[in-house]
Amino acid sequence: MVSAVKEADRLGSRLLAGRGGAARGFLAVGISALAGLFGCERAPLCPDVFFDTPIPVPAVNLTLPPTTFPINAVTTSAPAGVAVTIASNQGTIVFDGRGPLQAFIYERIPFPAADSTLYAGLGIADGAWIPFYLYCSSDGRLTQVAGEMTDRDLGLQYAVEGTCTYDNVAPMAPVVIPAHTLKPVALTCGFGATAPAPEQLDLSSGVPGMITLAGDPAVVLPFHTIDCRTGCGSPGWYEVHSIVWDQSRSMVAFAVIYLQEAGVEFDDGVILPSGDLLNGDQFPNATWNVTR
Amino acid sequence: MRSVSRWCFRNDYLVSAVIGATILAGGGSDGRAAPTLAPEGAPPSLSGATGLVRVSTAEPDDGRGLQFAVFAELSRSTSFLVFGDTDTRAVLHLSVAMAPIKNLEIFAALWGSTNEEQDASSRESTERASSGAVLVGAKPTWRLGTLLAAGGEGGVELPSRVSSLPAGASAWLKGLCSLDLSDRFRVPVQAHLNVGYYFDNSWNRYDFNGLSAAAREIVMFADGVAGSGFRAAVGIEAVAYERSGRVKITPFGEYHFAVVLFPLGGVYVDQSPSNPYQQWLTVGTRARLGQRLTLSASVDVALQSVGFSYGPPLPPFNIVAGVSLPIGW
Repeated sequence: MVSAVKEADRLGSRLLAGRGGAARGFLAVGISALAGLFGCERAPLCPDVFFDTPIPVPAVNLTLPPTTFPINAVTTSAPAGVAVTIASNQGTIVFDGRGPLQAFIYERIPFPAADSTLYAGLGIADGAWIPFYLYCSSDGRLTQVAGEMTDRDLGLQYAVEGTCTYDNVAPMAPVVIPAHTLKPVALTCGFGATAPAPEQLDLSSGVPGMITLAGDPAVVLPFHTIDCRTGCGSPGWYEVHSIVWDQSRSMVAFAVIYLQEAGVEFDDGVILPSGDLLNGDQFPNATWNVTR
Repeated sequence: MRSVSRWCFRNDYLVSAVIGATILAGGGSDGRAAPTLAPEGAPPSLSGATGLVRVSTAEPDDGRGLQFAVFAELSRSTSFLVFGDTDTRAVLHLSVAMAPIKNLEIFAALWGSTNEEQDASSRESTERASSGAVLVGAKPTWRLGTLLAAGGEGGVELPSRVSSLPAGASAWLKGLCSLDLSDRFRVPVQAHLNVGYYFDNSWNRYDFNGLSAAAREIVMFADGVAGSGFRAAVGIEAVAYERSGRVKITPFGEYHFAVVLFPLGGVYVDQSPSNPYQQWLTVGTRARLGQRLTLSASVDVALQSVGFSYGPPLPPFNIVAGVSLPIGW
């Protein structure tokens, strides 16, 4: 492409050197225009494709592992349709106009590139889960709320004002979640990953895949991706946010599948009804690609 | 891993080629005295203000009367907004400008657009989004000698959906400068510079809650939703051919640069790219036939689109055709 543009520039210069003529001028304009047709564009979005089978989530009295650090987090100023009220890791969230929804924090994730600690949580709506991340600074400010929804391929991040309290916070009480159903689940696109046996991993764009959940194969439904190949840390990575469903064991999980140089990792999620956290299952022999 | 800078070519090559070619085209007139560019007055642009396609000129109109123009835009691209889907967008503009007193032009424009998104999986599955707006504004300009003219322009854009007023109304203010080489240097070339700020509230015309990223993008593209920020443009035009005052061919080029200062609705979308810059080029020609009728044809060529947080992408190409006519000459 660069050579084509150089050629257009060279030709334009040559034409300029001679006595001008309208025809030649138009020719140079045309060449320039054609060169421009190959200019840069951003990648298109994924079409709205859904997994429509209802996924039942049983009622649960959830006790998270004691390694979870309890916090209080509250927004004091936020855009319309966004609010966080968390006390001892559970409370409510309003996100993209949905809610207030029951919500709980299940994990703490250091994020040095954002000079923050992320508190990962899950909001429970009728038909969808709302995975969210609270950006808490070391001096106790809640600066951003990021989140997504399992029923649409969309990730949003809001600048907010609020507080994160780490000290003198009461331990997290069990979370009582009523039975509910996830339907539909969005199916996103732009990636693929497979792993040879005995590892079990098969991810493709726009269709349900397969992954190992707590030792057994389960259906994986990738509903959103985050491109962290640049700008999030080094080395970069690509995140495939997914619902994982083992119908035979009535287990449903939210999980992040990381596509990275060292292979594929299955991490930063929570399994219901057990409350177990995913702890970095590795697929070192997996191969993957990103097409967006 | 894709690097945006790697697959975006150097814009300066293209800009220099177009500007050079336009200047070159100015040599096509063989008269000893350089023809003036628009003694009959420049026709209205898309916004209604007299100028090129989207660049306003600072040349005072001196009260010649009403100028009327109709423009049609068309773009069609596959895998542009959504993977595999085909978008066809058509826009119709009606523009009018007049100078009721010396050094002051008032203008208005009406546009309506429709975008059809055809699903790749089925020819039957389409989504249509339509929109429209009315623009009104004023443009005071002054000649500063034979070489320069300068002025300003201000206007408001009122959406056709009255229910989204007043929050959905947008406005702009910009400074204008025109350089005319025809008198001083006998070269029939004019260059124009526009620099301004656009208070874009088009995001407020819709409730995007509950929509997927793809659905939001389709609506935003159809309506031309963009963010507030600085916009600058350079335009150049040159008489390439003129015959006895009956036919005059004037090629022109425009380069546009915009930086969006705030994400739309204050929301960052977590997809890359996240750049707030947008650039495009418009190249075309205008043909005046007789004393009144002017035809124009041009193509917009996208150089760089803003990231997802700042607006919809530019179509790879966009064709603009127009007809203008002075009334009450």
